[in-house]
Amino acid sequence: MSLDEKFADLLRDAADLAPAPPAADLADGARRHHRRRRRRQAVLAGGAAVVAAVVVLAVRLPGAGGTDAVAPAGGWPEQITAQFMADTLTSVLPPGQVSAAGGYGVGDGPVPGLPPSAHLLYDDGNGAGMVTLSTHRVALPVTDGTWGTQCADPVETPSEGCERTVLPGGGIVVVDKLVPDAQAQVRKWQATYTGTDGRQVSIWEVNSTSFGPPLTRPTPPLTTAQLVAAVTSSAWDPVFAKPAPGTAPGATQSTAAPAPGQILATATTLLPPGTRTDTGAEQHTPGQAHVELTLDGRTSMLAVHVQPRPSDKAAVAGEREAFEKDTSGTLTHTPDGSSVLVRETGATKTGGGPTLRWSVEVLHPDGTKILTSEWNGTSEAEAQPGTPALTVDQLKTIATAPAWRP
Amino acid sequence: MTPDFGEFAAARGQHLIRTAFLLTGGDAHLAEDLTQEALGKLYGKWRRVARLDNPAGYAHTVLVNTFLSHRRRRSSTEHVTDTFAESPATDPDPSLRLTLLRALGELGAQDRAVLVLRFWEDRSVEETAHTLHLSASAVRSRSARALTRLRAVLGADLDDLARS
Repeated sequence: MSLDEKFADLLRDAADLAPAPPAADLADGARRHHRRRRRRQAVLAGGAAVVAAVVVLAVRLPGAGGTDAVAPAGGWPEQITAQFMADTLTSVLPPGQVSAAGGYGVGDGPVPGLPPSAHLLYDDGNGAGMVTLSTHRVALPVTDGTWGTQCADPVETPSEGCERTVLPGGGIVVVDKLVPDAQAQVRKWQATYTGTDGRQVSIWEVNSTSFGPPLTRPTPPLTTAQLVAAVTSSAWDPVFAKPAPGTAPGATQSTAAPAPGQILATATTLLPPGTRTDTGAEQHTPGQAHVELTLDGRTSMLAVHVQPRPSDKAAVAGEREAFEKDTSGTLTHTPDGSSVLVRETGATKTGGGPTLRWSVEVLHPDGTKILTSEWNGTSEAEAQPGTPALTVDQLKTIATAPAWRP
Repeated sequence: MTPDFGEFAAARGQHLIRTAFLLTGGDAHLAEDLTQEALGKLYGKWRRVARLDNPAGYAHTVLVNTFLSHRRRRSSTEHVTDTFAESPATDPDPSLRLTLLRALGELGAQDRAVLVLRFWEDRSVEETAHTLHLSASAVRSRSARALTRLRAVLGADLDDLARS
């Protein structure tokens, strides 16, 4: 059975635990949702005397920050066994009691073909916590846009504290202490080390022996310094002994996502004359940027997401095929070969209510994808109806500009 | 003739709930709520949706976007329910599957969506990439990383799950 089939089977089993409400209840519930939504939009429309339009130029990229360029598969030494992984994880932890240690080596387990990993329970004397480690390779060169090298966007992943450290050799460690969920109160601390050779070692630890109750201690057992020591340890060198495949001569690399500063620099040149901009606090998430705009007395937030062109032609063709089949907006084409999807979301499509978000998504001829979106308010969730600072045509002008192509 | 919305909801609703259940990492209440919200969006433009080649596929795309939008709107308040539908009498230990759901719930929302679309909805890499506004290479990379993470988190339980 292939990896796909096995995992699909696991998901099917888990999905069997889903609730099964009577069919009629679902349809009735959907109608109630629809009516509530319309009422809410009507209230919003009534209160729209003051328009604080926020235009957001946004290109959706990984929430945890970074591009997902992955090194080609096949770079794992075959001699890495489950025992090596479990023993090595044990060896990089401070003195304490270790139990239930296990791991997966190269080619192990019911889901073969994945990088090595390890797991155990670690008790420093104040209660056991689950500690799990996974490995990964990222494509070279490692940049600020590489996945795992930035703190997660706190909007997507609420955190009690995140520390990002660039080590003397150029490696990057990110330690993130996530906000526990309200119900189980399980605290998850995670550390990811990205080496300049493309290695990635990641540990998750929790204050429980699973991701559920009961809690075994107030916080996970390893401190930040202990986490950093464990993920950066040279004991993991054998796992990454094979040279990173992405560095082979002639290997193709996906283009890295541009930094927010680059995006803003390009976007600013494409704005209508007379537009005033305020970029606010420094932005860190590669591939996306936002800027508050004021034009003709209207202030809006503009978000721009930039997805670099895929590295191979087949991927570009696949993107284009999926794009052309999208029915969620109005699709047009530019003379230079870009496909343009215009979406207005909010109330207009459901009859009567106001539009709350305007977006233009463009697939350029080379596969570069740009999404510009705009709404009135500081965040999408608080969007207000009303005329935004930029028209859809102006959004289109920004998104279709050849300046985005490398 | 335009298919009736009620019939569509009856025919597809349970599958949508199961998808939402996986997306939420096993939160039964949130799964029902997201499904109803997604169906509510379809109901509002049903005449247009019903004329699409694949209304069911569109419904799942709306559900995934509803889920991701929910994640952006709210902080992490999801939880895995400890109550679930009646299990078959032959099921030896539903807690193993609960473990999988909890592990899914620990992944990032977009990673979960990638796995659910690829392995549960059986969508191609390109379709998944388009739905989630990711590149195809990002979908492949996220799949591998999320599966590795799940395996590390599940540990020996994964073998049991695969055998059950």
